[in-house]
Amino acid sequence: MDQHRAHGGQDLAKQAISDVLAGRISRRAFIGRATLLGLSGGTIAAVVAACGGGTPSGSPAGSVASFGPTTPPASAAAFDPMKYAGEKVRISIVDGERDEAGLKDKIPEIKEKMGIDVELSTAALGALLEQNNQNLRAPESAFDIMHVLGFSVAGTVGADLLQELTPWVADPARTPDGYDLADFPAGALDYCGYFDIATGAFGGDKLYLIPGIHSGSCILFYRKDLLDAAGVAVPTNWEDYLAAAEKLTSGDVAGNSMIGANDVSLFLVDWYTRFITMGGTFTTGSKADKTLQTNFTSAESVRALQHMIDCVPFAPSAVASYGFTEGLDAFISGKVAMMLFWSTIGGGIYAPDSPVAATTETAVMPADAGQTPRAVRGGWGLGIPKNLPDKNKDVAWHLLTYLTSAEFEKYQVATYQTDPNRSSTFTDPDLVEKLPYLPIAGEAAESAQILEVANIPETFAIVGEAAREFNLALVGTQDAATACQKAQDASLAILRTGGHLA
Amino acid sequence: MESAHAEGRIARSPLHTRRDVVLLVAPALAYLLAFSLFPLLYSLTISFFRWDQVASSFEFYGLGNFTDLAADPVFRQAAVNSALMTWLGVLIQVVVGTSLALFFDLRLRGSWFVRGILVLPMLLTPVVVGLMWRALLNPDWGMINWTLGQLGLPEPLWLGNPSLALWTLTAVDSWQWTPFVMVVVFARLQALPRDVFEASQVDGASRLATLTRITLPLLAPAIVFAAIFRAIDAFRSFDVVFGLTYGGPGRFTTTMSFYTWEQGFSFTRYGYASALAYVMVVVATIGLTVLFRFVRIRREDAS
Repeated sequence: MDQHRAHGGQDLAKQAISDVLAGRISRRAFIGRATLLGLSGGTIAAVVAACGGGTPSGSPAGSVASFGPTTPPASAAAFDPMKYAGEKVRISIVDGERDEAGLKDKIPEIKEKMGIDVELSTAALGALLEQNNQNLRAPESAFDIMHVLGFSVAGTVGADLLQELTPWVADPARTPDGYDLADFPAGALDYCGYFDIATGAFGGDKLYLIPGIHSGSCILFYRKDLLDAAGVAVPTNWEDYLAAAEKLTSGDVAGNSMIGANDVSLFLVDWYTRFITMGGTFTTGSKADKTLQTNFTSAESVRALQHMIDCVPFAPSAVASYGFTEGLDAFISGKVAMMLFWSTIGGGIYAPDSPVAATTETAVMPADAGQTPRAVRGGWGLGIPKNLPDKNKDVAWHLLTYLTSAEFEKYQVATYQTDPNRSSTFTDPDLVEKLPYLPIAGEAAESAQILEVANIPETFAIVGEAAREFNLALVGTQDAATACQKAQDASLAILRTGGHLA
Repeated sequence: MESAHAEGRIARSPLHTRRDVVLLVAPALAYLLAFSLFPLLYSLTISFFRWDQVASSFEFYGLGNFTDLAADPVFRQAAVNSALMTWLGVLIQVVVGTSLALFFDLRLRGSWFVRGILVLPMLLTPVVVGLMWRALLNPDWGMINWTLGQLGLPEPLWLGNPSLALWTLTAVDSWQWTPFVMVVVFARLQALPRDVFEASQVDGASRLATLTRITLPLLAPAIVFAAIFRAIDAFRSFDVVFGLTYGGPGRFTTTMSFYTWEQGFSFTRYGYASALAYVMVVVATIGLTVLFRFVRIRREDAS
């Protein structure tokens, strides 16, 4: 295969692209062929998009993978839902983010339609990361399907601990007709899908994860009624945001809120969004030649943190101790007019019992002039440990095609309001009616930026240390420049220890 | 019959006796080797290596982790936080726990019921206690600040204010573990010889004199035992920090246990975490030595 790629891969790829554009082969067939030829997810998505929206031919728009219980396979090579009837799949999923809820509901249906027993295990984020590490390095994993956080892809996929899925996606006997990989945003596939182990970079042509169960970036949630009453337009740059926050602050309502607590989301949602949309570049150098450095002391970094500090007087008094839950609670209880947040909380805000559902709207992040509004890319992937017997891997992939299907995702999003992964779900009319934030969230998912240090295992250490220093700046025990300098010192020490900086 | 038995014992060869001893001791020895000695030696070994599981690196680092620790400002802050939390917490728990034990010794009507309720926090898992208090202390909708607001009092940021967070953490830890001191001291109180108190009454000793010159000295062994036990426990407390403050704001409530966990399980720096843990083991061992020495003295006293 490698030889084939080396000598004739490029020609075959060009041929495949011209075939699909000319309509000589279906997009489904193109995806299969392109995957085998090693084209990147981004390229495949671009070509499929060039063929027009919708799903590959042979599959109606928005259709789902075929999991009919009694439908016999059309041929020996076709996907047979009941192929692994009687087998069991052990799945490990993060707890506390409602990702397991849809799967729990569907266990009886999976048994009925695929004949597979599902053993579901959940763990909180920290415990899950540790559990994944242990299992992936054990002689044999205790889980057949594993939930991998985007920020831990480098440490797991990068360590060659997950099964490559590229050939399986293209195999019609293994993957149901209509399973549309190109329906995932290219950036999401490059983050929680493709990885180049040799260079330790996201993207590439080898698929190890399928994005799921929830994805997401960050968006601006705002109370339209309050903005209208104050005559404030939705801020599109950071100066306007601060001015709006000040104007919107009244007795009971804070003009803005943020994740101000000692929490990685302080860094990821609030600081990083400001930083990159103020023109900041987070890293310079490269880990390959041991020159990787963070730029916490740059003007944009200090300015981003200073902007957060400037927003504090117009935030709830306890904002410096606001984590994920406190921030969401404050917004839902009507005490906050604007908030940058992970888009996945949109479900809670638009829940039927939410008092702010009717008055909340969303927008993409503010950005300086000349900057594209964008935020950090979040999300998860589902993968199969490499250290499993072949049979387990086969059954796991069989079920994974369902768990990452459009059918399952629509159920999960509609029922539990988690952020979708598939472009078709972000724009599904029924879902958009119920969850109006979805198109903006989809836009954010398309433009989201992968954190520059997400491809090294020390990501959490760097983000965690910086979040602590920034938290102290919000509390008022140090100024923005000092906090950034301390974050820089800590991150350089971490990069040196990790061997990324000589 | 008895003499035959005695003869049998005498006739038993030293070899058999040694074998019996080995057989009897072996299970306990194996347990100690497997669950105490091996982990201790293993973590000691790891502490001399630079082991990052995620980065798949494992290289000999000598005393590097320990010298890094000495230069690590976060470690120093965590050590200070642990020391403050331990000593202040134990002081509160001993004073309040002993006071409660003395109060309940008055045997007022219904005191058994109140005593039972007071013991309940001790039965809760510390991480649950942390989460429960986090909700109670929530600045926006927590019951504590709501009550203070209703009374027209200031509503502090219990967990967000750097100068308040460690005291809040200590107070929550004390809320949970004061009953332990109370139970230990109360049990000892019940076992004190009544004739000493009768004699003091006959001699006309005041209540205060009886308390300071008879009751407290007699209770001292139990109080010291409870204090040392609690000190060791508080020194390694992790779960309540995890549930309540997550070490913040900044590093203001990061304890040595929390920092060890963070380095080991969040950042997977096992070598560094092992060095940290080993420093904690040394400190805890010193505490335990004091405890065992105290227990030995009491046994001698009793004899």
